Amino acid sequence: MSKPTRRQASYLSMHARSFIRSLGDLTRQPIGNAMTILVIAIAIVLPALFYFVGMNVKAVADRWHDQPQISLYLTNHTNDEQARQLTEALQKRDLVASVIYISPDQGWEALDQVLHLKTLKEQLGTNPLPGIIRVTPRWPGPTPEALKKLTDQLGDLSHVQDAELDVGWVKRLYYILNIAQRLLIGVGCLFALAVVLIIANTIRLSISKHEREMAILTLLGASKSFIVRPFLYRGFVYGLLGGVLARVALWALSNWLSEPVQQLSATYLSQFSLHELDALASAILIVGSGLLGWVGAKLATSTQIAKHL
Amino acid sequence: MIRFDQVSKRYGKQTALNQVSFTLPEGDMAFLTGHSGAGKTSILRLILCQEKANAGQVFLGNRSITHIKKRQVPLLRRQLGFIAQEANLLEDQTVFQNVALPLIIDRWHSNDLSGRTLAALDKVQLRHKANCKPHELSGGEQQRINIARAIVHKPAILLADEPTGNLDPELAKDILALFDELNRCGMTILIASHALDLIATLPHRILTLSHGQLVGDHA
Repeated sequence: MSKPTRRQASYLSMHARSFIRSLGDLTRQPIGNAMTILVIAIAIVLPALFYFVGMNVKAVADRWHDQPQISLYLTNHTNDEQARQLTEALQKRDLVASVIYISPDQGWEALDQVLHLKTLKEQLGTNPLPGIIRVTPRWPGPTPEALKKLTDQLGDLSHVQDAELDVGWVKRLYYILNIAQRLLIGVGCLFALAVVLIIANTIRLSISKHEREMAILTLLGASKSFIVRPFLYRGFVYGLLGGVLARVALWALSNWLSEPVQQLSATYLSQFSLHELDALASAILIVGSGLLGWVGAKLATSTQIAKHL
Repeated sequence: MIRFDQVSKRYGKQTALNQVSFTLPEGDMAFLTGHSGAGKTSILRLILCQEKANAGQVFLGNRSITHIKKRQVPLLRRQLGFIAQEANLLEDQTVFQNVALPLIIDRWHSNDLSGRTLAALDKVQLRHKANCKPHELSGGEQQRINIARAIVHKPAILLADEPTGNLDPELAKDILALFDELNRCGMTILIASHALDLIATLPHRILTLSHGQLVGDHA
């Protein structure tokens, strides 16, 4: 890379000066600015919290989704050999992840362990349970509609009496997640707007405090961008610090919730633990907040500074 | 060179300047004088492009600035030096930073900037105050810093609006002597002032305004 020219270097140093100046301005009124940054952080943390909750609900849902199963009840006259042949054929299908055959005897055994039905079998003289093939479709992948179609296809196979898929809960979860996602986007946009407006208003007040300074700079030949730059940096820094605080708050909240969530999860014999935001999501949160601050400052300067020039 | 050619300026129904014409050649120094509201400040504001003339032409060198584009105004102002009655220093910045402002605005490299700023402070004999904040300076010192800031980029034309208005007579004399010295270095200087007794002590041209009209032009 070529060495920057003196002109380029002075341009960069001018930006650095504006940035440092904007930081200096923040330290001059620490309490007022800290409160502004806190408000911004709260406005950012709320949609981030939505995202965090949504991400974890999805993680839980994905775990459940691992085993959406289709039960194929075989006809009474299907013998074990035919059932095994059908199992092997099903295993070769694209949408099928795994297939398990449960013979009538295995089924009765499992039922007996829970309900102690020995006397009932003696009374009946025969095992009334049909053989069952449990088909686990590949997931995530097929939509609830595709699962339904697969179930119908499997129901039409020979030796299959009936095929059942509880698509109700799959569909419901699918749609709930959809709603949550849209809600997240909507709420996120609203809070992003709130951040922009909070920063725009803060910068607007700051501009009115710097009117004398702007008048002096204008007379000395400062361009609009020279005058606007420190305010833009200031907005960016507000947003950036708000984003950092929001990230810290989210981390603290996730740590605080982690133990009770694990305790709850253990009652379902699960080892689920809360998923933290990864580095990329954190970077997007922080830099995105900074950019929102910049937009807010741009909004304020475009309306406020023009009248001073 | 500054040239006004039949320039008129009105604020609503009030006429601030009425067909004013004069030429201030390069390297000359002149005083604009007259009662309050005579139009002295209006002339300076027209040169600084803070206002636009309603009629006539204003020239800087050979260039008419009467219809200058808004985005060109900052570039034009960087070629001028301006001193207001109030020192107009940035309170949160040091004397050095205040004086360096025109160079920072004009994107000077920090190495060159430092030398030029200190030279300007030397000119007004306040180098030792470089790290002070404006509130630590007396009124006279503040005005000298203001002058240092106006000349740091070596403008061809220096404008001043009542630069001695807030100073006692002794300090005012010192400031005017400083302007005289700058003029001897080749700078074109136009000073609006109503301090006739002080002006009279200097051998420079005096343009007298009354009710927006140029009524006197004495060498």
